[in-house]
Amino acid sequence: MTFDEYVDLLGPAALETLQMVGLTTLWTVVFGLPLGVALYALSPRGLRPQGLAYKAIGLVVNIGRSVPFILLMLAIIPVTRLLVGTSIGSAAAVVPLAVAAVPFFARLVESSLLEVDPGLVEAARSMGAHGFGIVGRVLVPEALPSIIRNVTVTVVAVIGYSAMAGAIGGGGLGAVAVRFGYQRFQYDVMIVAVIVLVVFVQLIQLAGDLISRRLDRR
Amino acid sequence: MIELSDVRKRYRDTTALDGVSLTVRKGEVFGVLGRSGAGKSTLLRTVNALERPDSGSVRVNGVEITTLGAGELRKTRARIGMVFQHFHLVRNRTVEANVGLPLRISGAGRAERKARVAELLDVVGLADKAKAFPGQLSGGQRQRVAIARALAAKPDVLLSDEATSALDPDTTVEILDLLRRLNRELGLTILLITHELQVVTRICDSAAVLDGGRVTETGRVADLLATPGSALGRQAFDLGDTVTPTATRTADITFTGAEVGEPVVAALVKRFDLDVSILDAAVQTGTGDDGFTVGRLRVALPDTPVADEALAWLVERGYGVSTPEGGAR
Repeated sequence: MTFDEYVDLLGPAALETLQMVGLTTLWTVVFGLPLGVALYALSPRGLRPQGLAYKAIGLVVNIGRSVPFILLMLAIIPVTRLLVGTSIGSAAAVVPLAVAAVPFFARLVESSLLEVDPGLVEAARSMGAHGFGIVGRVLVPEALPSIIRNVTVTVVAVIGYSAMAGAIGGGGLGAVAVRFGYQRFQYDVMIVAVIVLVVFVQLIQLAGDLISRRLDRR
Repeated sequence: MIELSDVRKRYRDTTALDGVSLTVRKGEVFGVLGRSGAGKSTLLRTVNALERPDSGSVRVNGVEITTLGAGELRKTRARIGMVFQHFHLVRNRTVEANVGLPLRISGAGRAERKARVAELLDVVGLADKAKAFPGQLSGGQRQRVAIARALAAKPDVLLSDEATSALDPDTTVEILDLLRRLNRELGLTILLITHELQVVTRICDSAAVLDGGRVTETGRVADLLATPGSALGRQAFDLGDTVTPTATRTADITFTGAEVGEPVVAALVKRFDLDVSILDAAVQTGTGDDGFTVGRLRVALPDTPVADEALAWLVERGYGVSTPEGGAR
């Protein structure tokens, strides 16, 4: 295959992967950040410890994290159909990807917030801050570098999952790699697809580290 | 200004506060001295309800703190500044943002915030550090930022939780003098807790000694120092366990204010023809009550009736005379 043929084949697939991962990341942050804050707030060391609610949310999050992705994807096909109208293609893949990534990211956010010195929370309390003020003005700014690092970890995991989604009807590089490399024994295509994925992961890690370091003034 | 009455607090099987009562007058610097584990931290935190006592009353500016609802409590807390041993600044935000934090929380506008922050940084002498991050500052500078932050909402009361305990001796003095100045210039009432005696003697008008969750003594610092038998005095004039030869007796002579300049030893020698030897001596000066000086002198005297007479004469003249613990009578 010539270089141009690789580009024609893998270019659109790479774009699809980026799109899938980008959208998934967006939804993951939108839902995972508040969920992580809730986990932190309700945890025994949090702002408003609530043993029962914490355990209940924790259980749901743990179930979400323990179901193997490939099974999760199949299991929630009805939900995906409901939300996107189809269970095939990269738009459809965003649903299971986000469902898998949200609990994963929420746990990471919880641990990022737990790293913040409790004294800082006490200081904010002494200023008369309410719960949202403490979270928004103190906890999140102080934990932001760590949260960014955890976004990076999540995006990298989502890239991995997205390839898996490709195997059962999602689009992107994973789908191309499976179709050509596995089903048609065109190992060269698979290898190039893997290389592109590796480059993506490297770039994302690099960007994440850079942003996190710029924000970290400690 | 701050009134605690029979405040009690237990954690599982330890008693942190065992019936604490004390009164902090408006405009004074009040120090609570105690070892770690004496209950100081808990005591301080009952004043802005970061800790809820099990029983007893805490009043700040006439308002009962222990029964306030959440909304009222937040408003009251905004009027009570607090500084901490480890500063507790948001390290990823600038000095400016840190100082402005209470104003953001209270919903002050941008222009007002900016003006107030500049004013505060000026007060604590850090006008040039507005854009710096806490990590770029020294410990003393960080504590200044924390003090500016605590003052942002114009509180009437400042609570200080071991504010100088993480600082070196020179910086400690700087911060103490700053607190003293703010107390004088702004009429700020300061309640501080510390395990460092120097903090109490240097800037406090009044003090309480806390031990095992109980106040063992309280009063004006100058008075406590001048009182023979006061634990604060004993710590301040660390005269040690001086061994005395037999056939002599030891006495601690405490003198204050005007008496400091008097030649007390010479008087004993000349007037009573006594052989006086000085075993140890210490002087404490403080800025409390507009400045005081209290000294204590440990002397050895012959164990004779004349010595009794001489000591009685000293008491008449206003000196405090006591027998040191463990000293030969």
